[in-house]
Amino acid sequence: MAEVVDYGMFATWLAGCDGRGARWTLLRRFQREWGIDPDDEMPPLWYDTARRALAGTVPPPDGDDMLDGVDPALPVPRALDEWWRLPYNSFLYQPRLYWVHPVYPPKFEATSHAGPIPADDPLLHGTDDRRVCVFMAEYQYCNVWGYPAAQAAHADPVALVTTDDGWTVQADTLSGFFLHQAVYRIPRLLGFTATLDEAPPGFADADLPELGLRPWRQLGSNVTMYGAPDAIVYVDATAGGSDQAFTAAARTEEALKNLTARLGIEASASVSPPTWRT
Amino acid sequence: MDGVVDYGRFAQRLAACTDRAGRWALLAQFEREWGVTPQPSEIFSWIDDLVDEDLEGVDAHLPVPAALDEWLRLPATSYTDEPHLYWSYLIYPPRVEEDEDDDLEPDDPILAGATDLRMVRFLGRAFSDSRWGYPAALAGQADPPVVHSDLSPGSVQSRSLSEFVVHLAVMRLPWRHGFAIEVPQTTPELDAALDGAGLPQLGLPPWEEDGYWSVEVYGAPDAIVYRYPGEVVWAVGRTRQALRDLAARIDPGWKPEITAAHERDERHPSLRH
Repeated sequence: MAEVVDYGMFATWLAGCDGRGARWTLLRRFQREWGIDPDDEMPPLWYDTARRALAGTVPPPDGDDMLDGVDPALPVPRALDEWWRLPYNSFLYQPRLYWVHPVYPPKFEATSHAGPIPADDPLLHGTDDRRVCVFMAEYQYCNVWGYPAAQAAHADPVALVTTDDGWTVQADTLSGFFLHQAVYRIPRLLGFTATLDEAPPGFADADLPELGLRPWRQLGSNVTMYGAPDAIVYVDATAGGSDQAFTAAARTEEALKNLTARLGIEASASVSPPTWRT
Repeated sequence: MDGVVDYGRFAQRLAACTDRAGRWALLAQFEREWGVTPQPSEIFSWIDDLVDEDLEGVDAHLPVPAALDEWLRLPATSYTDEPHLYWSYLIYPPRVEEDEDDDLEPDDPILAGATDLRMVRFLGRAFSDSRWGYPAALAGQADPPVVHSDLSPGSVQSRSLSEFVVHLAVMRLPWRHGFAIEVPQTTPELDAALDGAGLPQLGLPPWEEDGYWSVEVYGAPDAIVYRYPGEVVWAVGRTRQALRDLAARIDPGWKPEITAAHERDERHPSLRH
């Protein structure tokens, strides 16, 4: 690895993204920083077929339920189709970095456990369409991610996640969501990690900057991310979520040592080399 | 569908394009003819933001040909909207080929006496090491000729980068959008019938690609025929009827299977080797 990447600056980079194109660029850069750089990924053929079936230019394949639960009158946001077609899409490159199921075209059927968006919610933009279009699901469908049908015509609508409190905003845009998801999932698989049952004594004093992303909500967890040189720290505010209470992930073993020393983590802490081989 | 398009006259349309703008317009027409309606895309916006990128292999002194930047910045074009239809990946900024075996010979006519023998690549083929590029010595040209990495050095694939882009679209787009006939192994009878049918070529040089060298492309009303000599023949049609008419023209007794795009769950024929 060449230069040190200071993720304490991540919030600044994120704030500097002036559109979804800039967020795709940041996603590609982030993937490279963690050692993956796919460049010729292609969506599966069923994606193209589904897209054209949705447009009505071909019939759905016989016996296929790809359009069940889909409102063909709703457009698909540009950002979602762009994500599917990113040649550097790390989900297409290696889905097991993610452990999610994509849903395309976005469907309504999987939304039942969170119900519709409450009437009068500002997310509805004043419409009475309370439906949510689900575009991705956690591996065992415990959480799903979607966007309000009321925003389907937007190029890059807000991304919602199901929690015990119903639909919660996960990211302000779909492109921001896909970037966010990569930041949440990839470093702990591709980096050197240290995990603890609680935040170490030096964590509060170190005052690491947040990444500028909302807490990641999944499987009961509520994970805030913090940046350090060549490293990202994941802290779960809940007890009993699926995440470790505290994980540091670093691009290099040296960066992890520097960080653990700074945070007062004992050398005996559980330190692991990357669990994933690219 | 806007009337019948006779690809037997494609060569004239291509020849009438006297500049890059003409070829970009032809590309857009061809996309529309095959039902491709590209939307503005931000997938490749990273090419405008390369300040922090790893620029290894890039010679910052070499200009990027205007044609390449124009193509990638067309307001809406199929490569930037649906790159997967092209089975290729963008190399940007273009990279100087490191392997000196790929250098041009000093007496290669393409160099016209220039002394920089290096090749520069801008596009790679999916699933192989093949790449397309241009001589570094010609990087200052707005629209340099395109060379395939697997050809003997200096063998030209396209007379200009913008014509290469049109050619690439002709090779790739109809397969995913039109109806098709596919003959995995041609026969002497089919070859003779194809020769006898007198279909005009599209005015493009033979297409060179790993495993499918020297593919010749022929035109007919609403249909295009691709011949990989001695092996595969495939044809695409904007309608089923166009392919029925084409088959009858080649051989009145020929009744090949015609598939719609969504019935073909396989890769583009040129990627099966």
